[in-house]
Amino acid sequence: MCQIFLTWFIKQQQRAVNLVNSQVFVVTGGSAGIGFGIVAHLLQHAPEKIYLVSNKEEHAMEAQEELKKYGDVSKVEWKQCNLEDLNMTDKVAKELSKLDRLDTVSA
Amino acid sequence: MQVNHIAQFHLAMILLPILQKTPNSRLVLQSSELHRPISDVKFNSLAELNTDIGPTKLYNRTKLAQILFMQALVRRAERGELGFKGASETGPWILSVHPGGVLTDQQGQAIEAYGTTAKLGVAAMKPLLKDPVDGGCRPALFAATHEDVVKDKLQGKYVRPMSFMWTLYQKLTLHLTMCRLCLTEKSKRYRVTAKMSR
Repeated sequence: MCQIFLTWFIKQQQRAVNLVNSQVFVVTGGSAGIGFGIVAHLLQHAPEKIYLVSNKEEHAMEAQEELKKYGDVSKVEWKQCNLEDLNMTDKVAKELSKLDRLDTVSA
Repeated sequence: MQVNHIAQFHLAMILLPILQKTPNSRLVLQSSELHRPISDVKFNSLAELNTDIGPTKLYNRTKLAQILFMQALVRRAERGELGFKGASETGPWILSVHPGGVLTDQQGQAIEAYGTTAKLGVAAMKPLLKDPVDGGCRPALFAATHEDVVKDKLQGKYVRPMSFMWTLYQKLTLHLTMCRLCLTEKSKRYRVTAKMSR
């Protein structure tokens, strides 16, 4: 009984993630932790594109593998960026600034 | 500071025009309740930023910087200084977020910085920490996607997760409030309860 209630409650919380359909997102630190959680949830709701900005390739590859459970992983594009390097951050930012639309930046 | 704030600042500033072009877009800045323990900071020189004030204060400062950045952007947007008007009507909606106590690599970094003391602290705290995918990302997701941000015009707000007692209350009364919102202590204080639409 408790289990059923809990599942229902969590589903209600998940419904709070709306307006994601066909939207474009940029999430920094998206390969691990909270950033990954954000990407995973967004992916469940059929976004147009999610740009996952992170540095280490192995983490990004692992994240991509994990994300398959959540939705169409082809919508996730990895943008390698070492945030410790402001020049690299600038370069990646300028590439992303060429987008036609951008609905959320999670920084 | 570079990773937690300056790089994010730069990214956000370069992408602001595209956010502005997209109706009701969001800029969500990751902050933390840990912005509160620090206040003797002026952000007025590189020398100040490069002074080692200890790993905890350094972290606190980065999270404070995120909130102050949000407030500065909102202030300038309201005065029309960002090159566009009407941010309080069509966005971009700029919010900052406290994810709660979450189980991430951060605990490893604390151990790196503080050694055995941190190891014990982390072991004690671990059962209370949220999973990043189940719980830690929810305030950010609310800020990034929920329609109440636009409906209730939640510009420049700092979003925190519900407290445990409040969660219990919600479960008992079957309310589905997702987040409690309040402005930071650096400005006015009031609370808004955001109702989640079904």
